[in-house]
Amino acid sequence: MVVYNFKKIGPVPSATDMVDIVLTRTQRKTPTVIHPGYKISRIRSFYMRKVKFTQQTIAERLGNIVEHFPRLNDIHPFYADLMNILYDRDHYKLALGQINTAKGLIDSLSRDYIRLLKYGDSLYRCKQLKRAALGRMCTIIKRQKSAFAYLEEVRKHLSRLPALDPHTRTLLVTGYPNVGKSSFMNKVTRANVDVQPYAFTTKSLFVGHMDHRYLRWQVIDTPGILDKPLEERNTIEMQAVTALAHLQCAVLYFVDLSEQCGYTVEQQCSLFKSIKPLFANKQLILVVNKIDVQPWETLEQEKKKMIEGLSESANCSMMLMSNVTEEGVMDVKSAACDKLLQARVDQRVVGKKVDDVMNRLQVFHPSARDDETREAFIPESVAQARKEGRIGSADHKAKKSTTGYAVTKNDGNEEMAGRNSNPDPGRKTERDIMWEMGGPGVYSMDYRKNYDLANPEHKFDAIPEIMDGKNIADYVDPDIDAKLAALEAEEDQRMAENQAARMGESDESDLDEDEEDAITKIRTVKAVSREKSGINRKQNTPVMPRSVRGRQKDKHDKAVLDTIQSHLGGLGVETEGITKNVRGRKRERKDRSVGGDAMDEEVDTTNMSSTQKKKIRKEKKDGEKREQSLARSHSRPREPSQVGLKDEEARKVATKKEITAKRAFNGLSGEGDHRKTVHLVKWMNTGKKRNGTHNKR
Amino acid sequence: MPQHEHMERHRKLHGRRMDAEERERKKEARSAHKRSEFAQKVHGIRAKLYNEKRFKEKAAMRKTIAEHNERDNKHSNDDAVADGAVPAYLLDREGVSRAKVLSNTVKQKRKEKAGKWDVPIPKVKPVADDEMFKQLKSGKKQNKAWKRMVTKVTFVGENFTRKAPKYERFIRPTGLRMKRAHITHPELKATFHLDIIGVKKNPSSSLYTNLGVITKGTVIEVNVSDLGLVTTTGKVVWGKFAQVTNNPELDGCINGVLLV
Amino acid sequence: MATRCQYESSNEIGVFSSLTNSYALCAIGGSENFYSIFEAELAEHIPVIHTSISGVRMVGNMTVGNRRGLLVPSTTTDQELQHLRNSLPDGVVIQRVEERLSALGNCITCNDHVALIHTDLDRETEDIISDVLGVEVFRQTVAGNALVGSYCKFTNQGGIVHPRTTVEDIEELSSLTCVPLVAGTVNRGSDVLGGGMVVNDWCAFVGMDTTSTEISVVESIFKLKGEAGGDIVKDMRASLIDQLS
Repeated sequence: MVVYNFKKIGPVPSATDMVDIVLTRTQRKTPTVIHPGYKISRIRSFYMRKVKFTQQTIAERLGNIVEHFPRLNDIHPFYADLMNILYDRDHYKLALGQINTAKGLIDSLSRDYIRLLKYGDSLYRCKQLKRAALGRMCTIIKRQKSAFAYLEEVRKHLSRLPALDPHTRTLLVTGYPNVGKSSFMNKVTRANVDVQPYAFTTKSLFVGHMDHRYLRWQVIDTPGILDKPLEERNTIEMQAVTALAHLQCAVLYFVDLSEQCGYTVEQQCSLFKSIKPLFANKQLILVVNKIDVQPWETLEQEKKKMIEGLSESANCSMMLMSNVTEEGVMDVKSAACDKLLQARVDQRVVGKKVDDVMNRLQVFHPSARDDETREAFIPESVAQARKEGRIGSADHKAKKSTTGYAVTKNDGNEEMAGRNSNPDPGRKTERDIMWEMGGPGVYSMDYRKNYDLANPEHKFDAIPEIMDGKNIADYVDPDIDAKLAALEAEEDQRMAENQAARMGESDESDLDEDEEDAITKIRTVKAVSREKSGINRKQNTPVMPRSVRGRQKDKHDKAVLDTIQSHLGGLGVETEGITKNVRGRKRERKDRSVGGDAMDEEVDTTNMSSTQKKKIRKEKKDGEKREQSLARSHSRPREPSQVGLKDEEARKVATKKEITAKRAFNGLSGEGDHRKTVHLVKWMNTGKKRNGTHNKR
Repeated sequence: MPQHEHMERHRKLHGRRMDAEERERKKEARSAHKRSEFAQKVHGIRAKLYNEKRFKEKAAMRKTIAEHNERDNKHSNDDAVADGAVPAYLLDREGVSRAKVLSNTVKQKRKEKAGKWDVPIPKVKPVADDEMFKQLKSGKKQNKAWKRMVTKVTFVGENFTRKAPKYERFIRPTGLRMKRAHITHPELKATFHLDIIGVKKNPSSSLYTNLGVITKGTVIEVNVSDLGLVTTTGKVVWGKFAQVTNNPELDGCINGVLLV
Repeated sequence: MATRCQYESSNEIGVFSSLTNSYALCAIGGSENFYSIFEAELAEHIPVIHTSISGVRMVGNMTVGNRRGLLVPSTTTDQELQHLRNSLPDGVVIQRVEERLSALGNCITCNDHVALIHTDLDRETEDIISDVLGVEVFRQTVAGNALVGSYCKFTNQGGIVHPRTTVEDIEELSSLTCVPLVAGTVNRGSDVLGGGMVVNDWCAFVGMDTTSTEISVVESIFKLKGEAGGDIVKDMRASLIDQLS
């Protein structure tokens, strides 16, 4: 269903504003720098872009206007008619049409100028063409000045139209001016319509809402209608007539019995007759108002007859009512609602629509599938509370939601009066506590306080989640006691069994004392020898490499050799030849120095100068110092001279310097040593400075 | 009062502030200072626009003030009093100069004169060939340069067909061809959008005339049958000459004055 | 009595709470407003428990229970389990369920006697449900949706099903659950009944958007006002027809 809400239409700027908007937008959103030295194609596209962009902006703006204003043919006839009355259909259509034409004109204009720009052969010419194009576009907009102004007025008024839904359940109140229509409206809804003791207080349609039978009803208050031909009616009256003509609703025709409104009952009856065609296909109730001033019983007979005749002729019910005493107000309301609802339901039942929602209109009662009874479970306390009428009773009124608001004085009063939904007024809810303790975000509830434990003292005991790296929950077992008991029982049983088994054995021996001793000795010797054999046996001992064992142990070594010789000699074996076969121990020391040969050679220094000699000596000394301690695997550094240094000393100095230079600076000791430079922010310090005073930057 | 006039409703229910009128008055009184503060501070394009707007406002203001003053600027003029004996019934008459009347007639005349277009554009700056034509390269190797393209707006007759490329020396691009012109009738002081019939004379060169080039000062023939002009003999005039008053290639349209 | 409420301006209160005849679960929120709505109505009779499930606030979606027991998904942490165990009354059994479809509240709906479950639930889960909750279990769909917990809600006294359920389906469901059923909506036409309301045998909470017609249907079908509530068939027929079609 379409919901009419004209508030969404955006404001329509005035023609001059529109020009400003469009031009500044072009200026802001398109490039601005161009030079005659640029390639002509670039210059052309620069200006073409400007023209095109302007046209697009205008088209977008005007298109929005044309699109967002409701089209009279598309909206509900009630609204179309209302707009015709209020704003004049022709004027409205003309204004929108002009805007649309202007849009088309601007489109074709921009096309023409873009075509011309393609032939622009200089910056000057392109610029002039752009200027002409933009100027002509603005002129076209300026011509629509009156259309813009008119549409803005219409928009303002439209957005203030009451948001009434033409399709929903509606009661429409009508009658002569000052017969109590607005008072009735104020009685049944919260619309707060202005009520004054003069005619035409209500100058436009007013909408209010009320609830009846679980539904929301719309009540429309209309301006009073005078009895005159349709052509002579003014705008205010026409609004009422439009509503009457187009809305599917229940009509309440008000008759002022007291004639305080300034119109006689006869006049009111004749108005009823003249607008009777408008009541066709509507649920009509003739409401006789102000019976507090002029009771029905004491009314003159002919007037009574006249009114009764009316209700008979229109085939509608007549009801008595007074706004002042509120007598009959609710009756009128519910009668009208019920009548309309009945009509709407009948209309729908005739159609197929009800079939779709049949499952929501009936309750499906189960057929028993077994003889089990499945009882509801309502705690005793609830039943008790129900009996006392604290919950679930029909007169129980819901408290206004106070969610999200702080507790106010009213809350407290209500609680005192015992009208709130809190079934236990003495109980403080968590929300009350929260507000006392500083409100949401500050207060946090201790969830442990509602624990239901065997021993309430344990409620706030802290139990760690993880202990000794183990999740405690993994070791929690509700049946631990039972299991422990079972284990203990088993243990006891086993022990008993063991006991019983041992009962049969005896530990007495049949040997005498000597034999015992002998056996002990034998066993001791056996044990010792087993031990020894284990020690002496070589096979299982790990084989040590010679290097580890030590050379002395090697049979080729001298000490070992001597032992062998003496041992064999003692046995009388010739030992001379044995030693000969033995591989000699001594190995030649291998000279590992590479340049050693040259160095070792004594250089003939006789006919050299003393400095030369000195140099040679020094080199030799350095060489030795290095070479001997040198591991073989190391690659040799190059000669100091080859690195570009004079000698070893210089190299050392260089190395040291290198190390110190490479060491990172870790700051000095104190705060005073920290140096802080000025932090230059890029955007503050670069770029051209214009448009704005210097201190803005 | 419609339903949604919240402001009015609120005012009706609760009234306005006690000092609302006073505040409004003060705001009004202060507005001149505010404006001047803004005017002194603003710069750039906004300043330009603002000054333009303000200038217009001021001009309008001056005009109205002048109009108001004009009513009162009747002043005595002693010179107008006749010398010598004056009849008794003329004694209390002082010479009165009605400057307003005078100035009005002067203005009226000036206006009329301004409306009349005596000689539209008597003198025209000649257009040189190299400005008028753009050399086009042709040939297989693009080494021939005998073709010319017209860079100005042209008028080309209804049933014109281009020559074969081999013989076509002057090219008049379709984008720059125009068929209609905005012609102002100097006496009616109204502008009409009229069809061009032909180019009568381009003052720069006869070649241009032949090519139908329209530049500032060119005399063109336009179809004025819409205007319903009648000759002295009673015939309906349909062709009339007009002189172009703008640079069509810069403005994208042809504006002209009818030669009467 | 049905109460309108909101959880941190969400109308899907069934996601953030669950209610049975012997306890109520409530999500932990930024303030105590939501909790206190439950507390005010229920605390006199049954415990209202703040909890989260595996650190998530959707306690209604993730858990299912009735007066005898509570099933929580396998993702529930040990601490939460301990907290629930400590808070729940002694008669209520709590059980962690190893189930691939861990949003138990969406997949299972039950009263104290019958449970309807998602058709893809494990065999073991089914056994656990019937053991822990003490119910008969039926694998069912509601209006073609397997998520029975979301699209259907019933107590021991009555139930509401998805508005697009056909008449035959409702009859079948009604005979399975052994309670009167009706098709309906909450939250101004939302068909996610499990999300929009929580209900037990004497009390209901619905989302803030729920219309008065919807509330009166809820109150009447769940017999929340004892036997005094309006009759859907008689009193509300006209209103329902006018609003729905």
